[in-house]
Amino acid sequence: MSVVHINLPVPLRKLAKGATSIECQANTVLDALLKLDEIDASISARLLEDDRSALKRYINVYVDGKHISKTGGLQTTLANSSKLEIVTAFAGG
Amino acid sequence: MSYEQRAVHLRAAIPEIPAEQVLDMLRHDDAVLIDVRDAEEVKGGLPEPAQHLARGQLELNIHHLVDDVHRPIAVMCASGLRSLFAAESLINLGYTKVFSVRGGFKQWKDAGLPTRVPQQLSVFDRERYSRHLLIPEVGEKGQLRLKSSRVLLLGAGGLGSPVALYLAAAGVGTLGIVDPDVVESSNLQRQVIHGEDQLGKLKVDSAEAAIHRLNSQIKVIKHPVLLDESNALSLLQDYDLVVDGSDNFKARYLVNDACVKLGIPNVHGAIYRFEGYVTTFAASDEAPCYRCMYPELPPPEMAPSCAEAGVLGVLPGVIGLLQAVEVIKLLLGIGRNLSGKMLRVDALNNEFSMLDIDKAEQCLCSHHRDEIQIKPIEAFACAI
Repeated sequence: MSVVHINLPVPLRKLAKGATSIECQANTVLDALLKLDEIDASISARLLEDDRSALKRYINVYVDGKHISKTGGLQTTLANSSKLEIVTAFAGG
Repeated sequence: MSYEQRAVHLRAAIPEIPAEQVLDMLRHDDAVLIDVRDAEEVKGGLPEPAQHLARGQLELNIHHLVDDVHRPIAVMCASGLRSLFAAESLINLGYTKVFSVRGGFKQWKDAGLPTRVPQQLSVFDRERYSRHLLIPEVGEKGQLRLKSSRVLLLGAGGLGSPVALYLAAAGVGTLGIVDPDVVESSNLQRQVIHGEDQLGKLKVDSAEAAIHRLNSQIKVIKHPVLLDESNALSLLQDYDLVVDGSDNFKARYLVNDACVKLGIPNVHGAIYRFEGYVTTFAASDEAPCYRCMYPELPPPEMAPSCAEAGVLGVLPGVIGLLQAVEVIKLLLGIGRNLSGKMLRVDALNNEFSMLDIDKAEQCLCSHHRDEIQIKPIEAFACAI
């Protein structure tokens, strides 16, 4: 298992008791996103389609700056110290 | 050696060509025609295909116009004398195919060859924009381009304020502003284009006054209306570029769709609390758009809650000025822009990260522009 760092988008931080990021052990992007349910059981359902085969269409996930659509999708393998960014849209201006 | 003797010597040493042959040389030999007369002299006209580089600036700046020393250069002055001396200087710099145009601009005009009257900055503008003129990537040509540019600001709020002020200061000639709101006291913490004396007034009026205090030459076109599917195309179509500093998802999708259909670059900024994003969407037919990144609107629980909304007052300054830099680069066609990249700023942790954005295959922006329809966007309201 790799130790990975996940940056949480603002809408999930309240569920994570204000944390802006967390560290967890995970082998793939899917593993890492499911680990977030240990903080709050509703988190992965906000990020993944019901069958967990894909991200919701308003969610983007990057691993070390690269969109996971280029690196193997949810099955992208994570290295030790990989950094995941979960990106959602802001409308503020 | 006297001046006259040197001229005779140069006439023997420098190849001369008649004005009538210059156009052929430009067409067939990838040559460049450089008019080395002074700025005052070219006010009345210069050869249509010529680039102007005054004799006094020639050695210093020729490499900006001609970086290949083997590219043919035809040098022109008023009568064909100064161009001999200018040509000698270029040969001394290493240029290998330099010609002097015999008879100069007088001969060019007498032969009925095409001329144009150049756009020039006024004496006041030369001083005002002198720091721009010193930058090779801008220069007088770039400054004139900024002056003739038309930029539409969507929103005169947190992002629109710094963008408007700095584009006005930079000399972007026409600024359109779309905003139906009036100035409220809660705006003043970050919307620096507005002041206490403008409370209750339309933001477009307040912004116009601030812009004109800074630069009275800027043409401000006010659109105190809400962007919607019925007016998006007509509002955007007359502009070279759009700056999206709107405050709701409906506007974000509408401006994206209209920019894609019209082929207008959309310099996008978005902020929330300590974080912001900057990118350019729809910079070309091959570039990604907002829908490539966010094909669907987020549900309310995944968008920043209206009740919890907030933003550090300084943050729109940071993000807005990054947008302004992007606008200037796009207008001038210089540097690398943020098309296909999103710059994410985390001000709380001093982190700047660059994220890739790919063009999506099934996206609206993959369709032919004529097929794109501007449809109503159903979005929950959430304004910061």
